[in-house]
Amino acid sequence: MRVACNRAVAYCASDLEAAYGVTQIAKTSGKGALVAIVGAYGYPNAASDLAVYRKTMGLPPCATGCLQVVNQSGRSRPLPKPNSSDDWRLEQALDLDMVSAICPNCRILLVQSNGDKNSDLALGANAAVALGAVSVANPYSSKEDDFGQGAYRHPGHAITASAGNEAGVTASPCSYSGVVCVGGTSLLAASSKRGWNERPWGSGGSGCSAYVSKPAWQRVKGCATRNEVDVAAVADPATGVAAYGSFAGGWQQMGGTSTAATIVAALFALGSNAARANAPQWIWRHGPGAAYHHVGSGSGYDRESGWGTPAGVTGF
Amino acid sequence: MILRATLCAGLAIAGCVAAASRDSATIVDSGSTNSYGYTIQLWSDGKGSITLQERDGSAVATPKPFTVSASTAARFFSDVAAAHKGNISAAPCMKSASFGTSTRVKWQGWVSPDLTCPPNDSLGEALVRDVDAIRQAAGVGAPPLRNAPRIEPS
Repeated sequence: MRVACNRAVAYCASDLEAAYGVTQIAKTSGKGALVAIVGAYGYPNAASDLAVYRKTMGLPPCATGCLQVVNQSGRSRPLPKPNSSDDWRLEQALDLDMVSAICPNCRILLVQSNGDKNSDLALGANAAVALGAVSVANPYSSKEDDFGQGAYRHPGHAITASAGNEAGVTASPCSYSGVVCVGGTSLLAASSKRGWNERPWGSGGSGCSAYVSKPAWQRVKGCATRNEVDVAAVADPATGVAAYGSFAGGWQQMGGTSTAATIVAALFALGSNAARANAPQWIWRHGPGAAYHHVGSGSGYDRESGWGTPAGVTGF
Repeated sequence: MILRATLCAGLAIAGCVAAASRDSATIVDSGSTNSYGYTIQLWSDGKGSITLQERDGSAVATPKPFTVSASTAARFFSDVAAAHKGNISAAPCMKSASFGTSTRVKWQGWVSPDLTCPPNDSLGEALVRDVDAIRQAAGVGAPPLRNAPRIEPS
């Protein structure tokens, strides 16, 4: 089945840029900015699959130096092998495509940890920061704890994570106070001024942290501890994005809060505020306001979608 | 018991003994946001079936039969018993937010830890290898995506 990139599911890069108000700035900004994606295990076809996505989407090719793949120590060798019993290749394919869609001029650093232990991925996040990433997407989650807070606290770098795909459940590292926790929405084209309608997905993680105390910059009531979700983007697989993985049949429609976390990481690179900001605090400083499309009920903070979804790069 | 006795009464002795000693286990994968889960039922004679399912456990297709070699089945059931006896455990692990699943073996009332997280010992590693081989034999290579194949942007 072939679909044109005309605001119909599965969304193309141009659809996502339009939905989040970055169509123009995506063409001119982000040059040289390094966006990191942290995942587990290897993905040997990462570069060739990404090339198919970018070519099909009309994005500039990812030339020499555009994509760097390293292990959790930040070295280009040895890279881990794929793990057939716990396959992260599609996750990495989706993430590479989403960063490319929002920030086609950015450089991409793919950090592949040796395994999926919490400590392995934390090392990967630290390696990404050490290699100069402006923003680091961590599209993964585990049962919430507070052991790893230090590994994900990097002022001056925007560290994003997925709120997880278990409705109403909090997760690590998303709830850590140094992390921009990204929730999920359903995104549909509409005849409104924006041209899009968004609502909370309903299946994304959210809630009050069981471990992380309330940061001073979180000024809303409702949780005595950290409100997990700061901001959101599309995640509903029913209103999913187009992504390409050669090993899984090629083009697929995908969703999940990893989509949202990588979109937001790319926006931080486009917006260039991350380098001088405490990223989650930056989100809260701008919400509510014109920086985000309000998504949930009422007019203020929404537990599942935070302050809303990106309306350009002011809030990033 | 009554049913088994009745069946045995109607069968040749050797067949009845074989039926009575036939062991089975299930391998249950939760599925993810983007992929279906599945339940594999495997018998000790190597015969099995796989059923794709939603995350709530409801089937999305009729069970498909498959077969593994007798040696694979024997190794699996031996390793399951050893894992149960050894009380295996797995380290906490991160899940891909959109594709992560959990996989557990159920056998004679015992439920394994999540086999997609790193096992803490060789007994767990052996069980992971067995499950991987059985999964491949059942035709689960890449994750069974919900929307695949769906689109080709133009």
